[in-house]
Amino acid sequence: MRLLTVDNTRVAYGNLVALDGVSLTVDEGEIVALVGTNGAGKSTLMAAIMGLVPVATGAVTFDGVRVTGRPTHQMAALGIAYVPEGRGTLCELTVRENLLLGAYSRRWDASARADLDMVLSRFPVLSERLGQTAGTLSGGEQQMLVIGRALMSRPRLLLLDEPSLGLAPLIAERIFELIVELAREGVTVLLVEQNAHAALGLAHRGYVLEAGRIVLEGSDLLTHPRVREAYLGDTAPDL
Amino acid sequence: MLLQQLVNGLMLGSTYALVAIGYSLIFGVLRLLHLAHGEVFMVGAFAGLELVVWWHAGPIAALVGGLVGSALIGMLLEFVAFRPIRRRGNSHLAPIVSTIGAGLVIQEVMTKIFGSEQTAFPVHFSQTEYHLAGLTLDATQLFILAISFVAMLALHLFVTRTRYGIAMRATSENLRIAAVLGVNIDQVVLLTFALASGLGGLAGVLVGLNFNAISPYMGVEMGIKGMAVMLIGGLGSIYGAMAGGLILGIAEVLSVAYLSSSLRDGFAFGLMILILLLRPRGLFATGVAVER
Ligand SMILES: Nc1ncnc2c1ncn2[C@@H]1O[C@H](COP(=O)(O)OP(=O)(O)O)[C@@H](O)[C@H]1O
Ligand SMILES: [Mg+2]
Repeated sequence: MRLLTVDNTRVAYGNLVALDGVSLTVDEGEIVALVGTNGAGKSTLMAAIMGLVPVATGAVTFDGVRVTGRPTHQMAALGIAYVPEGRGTLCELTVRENLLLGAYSRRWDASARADLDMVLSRFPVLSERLGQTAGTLSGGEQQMLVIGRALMSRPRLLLLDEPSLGLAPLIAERIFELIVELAREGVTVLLVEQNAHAALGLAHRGYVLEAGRIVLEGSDLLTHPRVREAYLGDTAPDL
Repeated sequence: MLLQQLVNGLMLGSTYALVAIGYSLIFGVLRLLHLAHGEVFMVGAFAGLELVVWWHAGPIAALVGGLVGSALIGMLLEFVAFRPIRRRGNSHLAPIVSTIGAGLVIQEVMTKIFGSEQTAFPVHFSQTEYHLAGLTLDATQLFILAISFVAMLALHLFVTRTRYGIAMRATSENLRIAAVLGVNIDQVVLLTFALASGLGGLAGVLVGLNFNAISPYMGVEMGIKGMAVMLIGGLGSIYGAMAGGLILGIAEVLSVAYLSSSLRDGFAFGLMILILLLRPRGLFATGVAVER
């Protein structure tokens, strides 16, 4: 079933056109990777989905509901959780408060407490640090915290913007395994990564964004010569 | 004697703290210097006075009146004077102009209604004095201390234990993230104005009780002090505002007692400048000032 549809969407910052008619879909249960060089517009696409930047033309539809133009705070209640680039840890709040805020739009009842236990059993390192301010966590721990926080909303769609950025390779690896695990449990994921190899490797399908346009899409991008040359560092693609 | 002066300083300082907390809450959430907050404080004092004069309200009812009156004015300002300008976009200065204008309008309206003279604040309090470990406190003083500390404790519990309170702190740290997590920012801003202004109104009534005199201009000096206290406390930090308010109150009382009453403000502000020299971002520096 189609969960997310981005239709011919255009976003501009003043004169700079960041998204130039982008169309993309995500089906329920899929991991979809969106790759592209720095400045291609990947983060802008996520911000547009979340209503954080105004969309000039085009439309975003989630679960059959047109969400373009809706205020950002409604997205969580609709079932979209977003982990931005740079994580978005609330550093001055405690780990526990960060996690509880993930369930903000559903009130803090028994089911939220149960979800808190579920997240803590998934990330045991967080349960030792519940009362600490989140700013004291390491980068990897913070990434787990913000993913845990996103899970607290019981999202139907998880938007992850560069979750491996700035992490040690081993920790990044752990994050990628986690994404696969989550998808297996039924969470739909749209994943933005500069690490195109890892992202395309674990995703069901992928899109390549260049200068605000989708230039390639498909389920076998890892073997696509143009992708191999431009994003995977192959100077001599095998033909 | 020193201990007695310290208690007097705490009493005075707790009202500064209540006002400064308001500046901090609003600055935290909106990065807005609310230059009409002193006037909101003054409106609280008059709202309390009205209840006392017309309904023969006791001190508690006067406090509730001040709190509600100021909270309503604060929310009204947000609706008519600040939100529309914020919606128009990205100037950081336009909203400040709006707060200046709002302050002047409130002052003029209140002067029209109540006159520019000082008015007495005729709440009847028992004249009992309490003696405790060499200290002498009358019922009014005890009442002021108790109310302001209960208010600060309540605020602490609100921002650390409740869903809206935690959302308010989240908004203060990162508005975008708070929105992404589902927090309705407009709601939080309105709540912040209600809370900040309500505490200001509480302080207005407490100051009326303390000095038995209020006037439409009482907000000017209090506004400046409240802002200074927010700065020495650390921009956007409510605990900094609490500590800073108490420090200012104690410094003023001590300088009157041991130096000279004409040096009061000079000494107090000298001390604050010293604190800022040692800790330029205030006692409880938060990330608030540097980000965005
Ligand atoms: N807030 C902004 N204001 C102005 N330009 C921006 C803003 N955010 C991004 N841009 C520009 O939009 C383009 C796309 O940026 P972005 O979406 O962050 O790309 P990516 O995430 O793929 O690196 C870039 O040229 C970037 O400089
Ligand atoms: Mg990006």
